[in-house]
Amino acid sequence: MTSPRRKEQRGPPDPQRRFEEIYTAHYPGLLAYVRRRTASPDDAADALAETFTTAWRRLDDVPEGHAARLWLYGTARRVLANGRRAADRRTELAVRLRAELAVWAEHTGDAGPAGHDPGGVREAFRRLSADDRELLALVSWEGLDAGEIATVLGCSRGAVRLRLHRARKRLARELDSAGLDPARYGSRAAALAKGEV
Amino acid sequence: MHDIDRLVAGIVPDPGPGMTRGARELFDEITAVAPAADVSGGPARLRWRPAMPARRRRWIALPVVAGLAAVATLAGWVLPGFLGAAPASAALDVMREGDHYVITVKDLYADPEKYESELRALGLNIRLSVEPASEAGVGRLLNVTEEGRLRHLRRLIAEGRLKAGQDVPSVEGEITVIDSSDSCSDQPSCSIIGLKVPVDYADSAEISLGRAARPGEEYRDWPDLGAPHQVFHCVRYANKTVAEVTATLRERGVTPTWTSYTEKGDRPSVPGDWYVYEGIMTSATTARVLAEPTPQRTPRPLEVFCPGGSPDSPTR
Repeated sequence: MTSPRRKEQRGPPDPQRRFEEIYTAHYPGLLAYVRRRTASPDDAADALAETFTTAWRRLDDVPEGHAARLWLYGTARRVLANGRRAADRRTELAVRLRAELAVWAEHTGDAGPAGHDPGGVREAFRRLSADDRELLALVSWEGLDAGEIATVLGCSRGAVRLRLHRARKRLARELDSAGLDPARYGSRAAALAKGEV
Repeated sequence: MHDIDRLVAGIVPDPGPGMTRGARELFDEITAVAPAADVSGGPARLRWRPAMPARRRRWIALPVVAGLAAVATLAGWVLPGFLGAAPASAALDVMREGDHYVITVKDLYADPEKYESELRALGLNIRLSVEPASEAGVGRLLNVTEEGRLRHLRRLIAEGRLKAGQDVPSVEGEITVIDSSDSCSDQPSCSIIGLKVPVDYADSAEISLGRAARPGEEYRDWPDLGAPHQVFHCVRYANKTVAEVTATLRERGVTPTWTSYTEKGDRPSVPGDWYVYEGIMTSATTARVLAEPTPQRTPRPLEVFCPGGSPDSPTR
């Protein structure tokens, strides 16, 4: 949730104030982003800590307004990619956050693969490539459009549209091959599965 | 929305607990190091060095443990005879009870620097602010930041005694509110606003105390809509529709603003058939509520704010 902010700024923002505004506005979104892409609360806490530490260190590079969110997603994406290569790296930051996220994950029971899977969609989604999953997730979970995704991924908008179309098609086919009727999910899903579009 | 996107949206993993105490601590931890400290361009290495504290803390809504820098140049011991000899214009009233100072805030609206200088005269390195709070936050500690506690936690981690995923040990703070164990615990709010501090308190701390918010003032403790004294105390409001929650809030004279996980900011309304996830009171008459098109799979258990209470019976 976006937290309240005071509107009492005078003159150019000092770094801490600017960082606070970025942090307040985008922390919940970035938490959701990293949780949806990490297997453990520790990984999520690490990724949050490292992404925001990077933002603090490179504050001048963080764009203004809504673009800051895309910058954070892009940074978190790189952090997660690095983190997977060095899973044993742990920061000393975020001690309480780590505990909170662990308790939360335990409570919500979303750490394991046996979560609620309406219609086998989750399983079909899991079978996609990481790139396909990321594209679909950025659209459906983060609510980004093609231009915004292009910013996060550092590629062209046209490439995003094309890759997104293919990713949707592959998911429709995964559903189809799993014996799930894509028509049940709508005519466009059915058409994609049949290769009509 | 594309059919396939809707399917994927239907399996969105839980977004997590949002802005928490731990999140605020992380903010303090990160900003305790000066920005642009690392220009190596290599993998981020988290380093610590003492930093000058910000003049005014940002996170004051919830207790935090981190971030105050070690600039503990403690002033000399208080001169005998100081107590009771404070000038009439003093913002704080200080009495000594055994090994504690009992510090009552006389002027709730004084400049924090005035509090600070009066505390410094006692040999205490404490920065105190008094902030507008909800009913439940009056007289309470809204924020305590103690450098010594942070160092203690770091030591536990370094020694391998506190591992990821474990609960952070709760330590009884040395600084408490006045009457925290007596009248305050049974009352909706504490009538006396002040602190009890050990006379030999050697840590450096930053503390916010709650005072009653004046009309129109924004709360700094942001109570959940389900917290005691609030509209939905002991009522399951998560997954009620936006329309239902709006109606209830408006009945109580509360104007909501709305946000969602994909929202770029607040907005005055969201579709009435969306589901409410959670909300906070931002002042006596305003609330900020998170809503989404799909139900919350894992709403916060009612017992969090209503231990053993009877559900679905409004308290007022």
